[in-house]
Amino acid sequence: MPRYYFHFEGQQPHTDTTGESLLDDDAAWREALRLSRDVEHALHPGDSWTLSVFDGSKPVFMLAMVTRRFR
Amino acid sequence: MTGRPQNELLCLLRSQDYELLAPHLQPVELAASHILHHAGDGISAVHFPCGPAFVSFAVPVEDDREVESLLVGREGAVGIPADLGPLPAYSRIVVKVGGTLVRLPLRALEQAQQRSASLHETMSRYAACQFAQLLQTAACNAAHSIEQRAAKWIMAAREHIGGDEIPLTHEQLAGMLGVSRSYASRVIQTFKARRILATRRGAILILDAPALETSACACNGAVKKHFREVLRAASAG
Repeated sequence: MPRYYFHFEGQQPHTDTTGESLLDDDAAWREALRLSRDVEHALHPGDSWTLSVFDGSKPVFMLAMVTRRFR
Repeated sequence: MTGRPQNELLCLLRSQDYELLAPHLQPVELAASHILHHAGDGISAVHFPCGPAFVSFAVPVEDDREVESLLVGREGAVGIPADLGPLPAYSRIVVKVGGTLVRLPLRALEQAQQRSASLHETMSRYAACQFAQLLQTAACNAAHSIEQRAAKWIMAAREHIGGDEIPLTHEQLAGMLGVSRSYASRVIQTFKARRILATRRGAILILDAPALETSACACNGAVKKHFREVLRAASAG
């Protein structure tokens, strides 16, 4: 089974050093969605985050949230 | 209560009620990961966790994931209610933090409850408290953030263990929160950056308990208050 790594950049950067053994890219996508579902709670206006999913060192997916405050 | 096991439910029983159960109580030492009941097993004994022992109810969700939906420690018991005969366990029930648990065969509790209305009432009140605990858990999971819930669980563990070193891996915390290990690691990292927690292999160290308390939701307090109100009435009655 491939080992996927989920790295966050933005307000609370986090490098995933352990990774997670998942069946395939679909499973990694579902995991990424699950992770991104919960990230919103800590956001302030103007924050942004990026979640990058790697299979070892090969990029697989990227999810990003950008926020702006206009007043 | 001298001579009684370190379980709060057993300790609040009236003497007559405790004496009905005492000959049938059997302390057992169980390690973390010991499976008390597989899902579907008939529950034929009640277990009362003592001291720091904790039991987890793990509900499977898709993708081989499990969410720990209830943790029972020395404030309660596993396997109540007991007046319906052995019921199949709904979830897997596993020892989360090892220690002493007092085992009581279901038949012995049923018979004792038939002989004592006050014992039956105390156990029914406890079942109502456990229901309240589940109601609060459902609300907490829907409304509160992962960070709040993580802080809540770590503070609860601190109270149970009576110290600032919590034997909990990122994997285990992830299970309690229903999130991936990656996200649990990120949450812990955030608390470390704020100097609220530190980590050591296999353990979380609380550096700033008041700050952690502030980060937590108030769900544990609400449940404890309910336990006190409902069970105090049982022992005073």
